[in-house]
Amino acid sequence: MSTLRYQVLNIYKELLYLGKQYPLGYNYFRTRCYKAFSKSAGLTKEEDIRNAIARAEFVKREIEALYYLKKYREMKKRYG
Amino acid sequence: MSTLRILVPVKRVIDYAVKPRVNKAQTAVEIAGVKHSMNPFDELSVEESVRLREKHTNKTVEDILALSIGPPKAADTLRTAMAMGCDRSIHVEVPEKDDMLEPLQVAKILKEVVEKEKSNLVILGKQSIDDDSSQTGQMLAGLLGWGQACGASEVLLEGDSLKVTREVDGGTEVVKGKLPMIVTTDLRLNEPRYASLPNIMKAKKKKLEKMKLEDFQVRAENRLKTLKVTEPPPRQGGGKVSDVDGLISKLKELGAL
Repeated sequence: MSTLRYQVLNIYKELLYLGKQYPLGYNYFRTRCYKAFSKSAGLTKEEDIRNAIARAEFVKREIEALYYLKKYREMKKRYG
Repeated sequence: MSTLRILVPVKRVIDYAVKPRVNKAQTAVEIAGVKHSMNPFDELSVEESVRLREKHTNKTVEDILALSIGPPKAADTLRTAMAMGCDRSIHVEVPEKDDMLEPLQVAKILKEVVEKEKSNLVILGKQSIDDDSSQTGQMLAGLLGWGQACGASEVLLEGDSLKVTREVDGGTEVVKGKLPMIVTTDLRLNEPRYASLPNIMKAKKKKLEKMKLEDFQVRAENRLKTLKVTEPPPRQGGGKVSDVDGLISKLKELGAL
């Protein structure tokens, strides 16, 4: 159980780190990220928690892709 | 099959998302308190060298060395490069000031590093997004007398030669050259990975060597002098016309008819 706890904390930290660059601002991201995590705070079954972590990983990948696309499009606009 | 020792020079530039402002004296762009990050084209070159290692084996790519010439904060950029997969890095520290080193000086420093570190492949970004010179790679190739492939959109290692697809006007061109070589990256080469928090933490353990400009045989003075920097004139908004006659009279007024 304690390893799961660390996994959750780690992914939360990683997401917050990613959020610092969020286009709508860190505050916007942080409040929403916090809400999403606190919504699943009551989960007790191991499977549920694993699913929630998997979802967080998915969101992380999505945000990374968002940043990449944003940068790529801007560069393409400037340099073709 | 020869082993590759890759040198990846990276530059710390004003972040692509920040709109640069000209300072009051109109001598340079304001850099104090502005967000900086790694030049996007250099991210591509870091990614490409890491991918070369992943695609081939650890034996093929012996070493990936990142190098940055810049103010003390350029160390952060090097950490990012190492978080993305570079093995170690060299930071040539220069004081933070408005006028930066010119491509020729940078190329001369790179040449000395290449000779000292025995690199046989240098992957650079094709240009930096701050001064857009797009010269360093070419100058380095000239100084070293190596082959160059600029604006690469695909890099293939075949024995001890490289097959590089270049992006040229209206299409692509495939060039092949023997190592040692210079490659500069274009936008569509790859998709750079994100330097995640755990990787940045791990990168803190990697070796970062500090050097000074005096360690190299280059002169610090620039050959070019910046006379004036101004912002482009603001775009003038268009006007609306109510009907066809209005449009015609407007066009006549502008002398288009």
